[in-house]
Amino acid sequence: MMMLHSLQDIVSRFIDRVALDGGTLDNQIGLSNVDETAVLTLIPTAYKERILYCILPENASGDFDVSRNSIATRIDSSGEIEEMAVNIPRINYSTGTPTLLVEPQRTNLIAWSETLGNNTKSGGISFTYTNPLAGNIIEAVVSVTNANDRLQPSFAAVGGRVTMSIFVKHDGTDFTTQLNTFNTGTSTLFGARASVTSTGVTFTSFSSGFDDAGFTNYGSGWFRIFVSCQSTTGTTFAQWRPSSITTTISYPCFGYQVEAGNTASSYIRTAGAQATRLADDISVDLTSLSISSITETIDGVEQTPITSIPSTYTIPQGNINKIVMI
Amino acid sequence: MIYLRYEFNDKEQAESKIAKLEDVNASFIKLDKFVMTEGTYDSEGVEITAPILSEGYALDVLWRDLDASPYGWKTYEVEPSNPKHRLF
Repeated sequence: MMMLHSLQDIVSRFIDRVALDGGTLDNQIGLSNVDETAVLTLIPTAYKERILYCILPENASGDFDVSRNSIATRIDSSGEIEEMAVNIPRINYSTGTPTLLVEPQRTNLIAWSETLGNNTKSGGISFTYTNPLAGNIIEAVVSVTNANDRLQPSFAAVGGRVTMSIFVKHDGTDFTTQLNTFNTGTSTLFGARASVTSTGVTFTSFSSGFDDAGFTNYGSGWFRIFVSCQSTTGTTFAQWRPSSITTTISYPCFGYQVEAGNTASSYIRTAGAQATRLADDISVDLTSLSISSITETIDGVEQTPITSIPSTYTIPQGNINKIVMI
Repeated sequence: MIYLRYEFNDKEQAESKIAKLEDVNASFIKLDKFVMTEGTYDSEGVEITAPILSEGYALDVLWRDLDASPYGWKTYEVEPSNPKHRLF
């Protein structure tokens, strides 16, 4: 007869198991809401190099193997960007609550993501650099006097959609900034203007327009703005106008990123060369467990249960809240 | 495990080389061309000289189970003194 343990005991033993194994207990959020009858339950709470710990089963047989042969960033529980070493899973707090961040391979096509003034410029745009933010990120203060003042580093067109993103700080004054591509092969501009206030960002189409746009509010006036638009043929210029109206303005910024794809992925720091974050590969061997159903909760939405059980289960890409196997 | 850089004649050649690999555990980073010399522009942003792109098709590979290029790849290895791409 299977003996059911009290949840409090299970949580206590889980915390002990992680500590004895030299793991890091990142948080305990969600551990008080575990179905004790599940065969395997993953809630993103604890990890070490190459391992993501499961609260159930109560031994290492259900722990996930983690592989990612490059550094990657996450937003930590303080809201700061943190670089995570090779093969360390990322418990990410960009939405305020912890999720497991599982991403595809992406390349930041901008060679200078922080020392922004080293990129190709046009007009009177200038930068001063201030003390590093958390994680030794170099924060810049950009100053412009004209709507034509801009950064415009270039790259070989990818023949599809790219997503441009940058972190900007509303420092008491509203401003309108612009992210757009200019493609030499077709002489076309795609992009959007982003109006930044203390509470949020609104977007309006520019020239041939954009495919998608949005922002994340990190608090203290910091926003990450993203615009997805086309990189067609020839050379693509990734143009960022700090002010798209003729006015003098200065504000803090960092983290210019342009990547092939439809979304802005986690920040990839560059310093003189393009850089690639490799894909996260997180999986578990299920051959020793008796599983009949797998339910994934991704981006807060419980998915249709998987009933065709693979011998090795790999976590899908996205922001993973929970995985329960029965 | 080893991280190596390659330059092929074009994308088709690179894709063909990848397709011929069997049972290889690797990450392929398809970079295509780099801007070797940025363009120059006047104060209004009008182009004076166009950017100059690299020749060939750049491909970086992280070979997880190898410590050298597989058969047929060595010819295309490059070791730029100032790489335009790196692993994060």
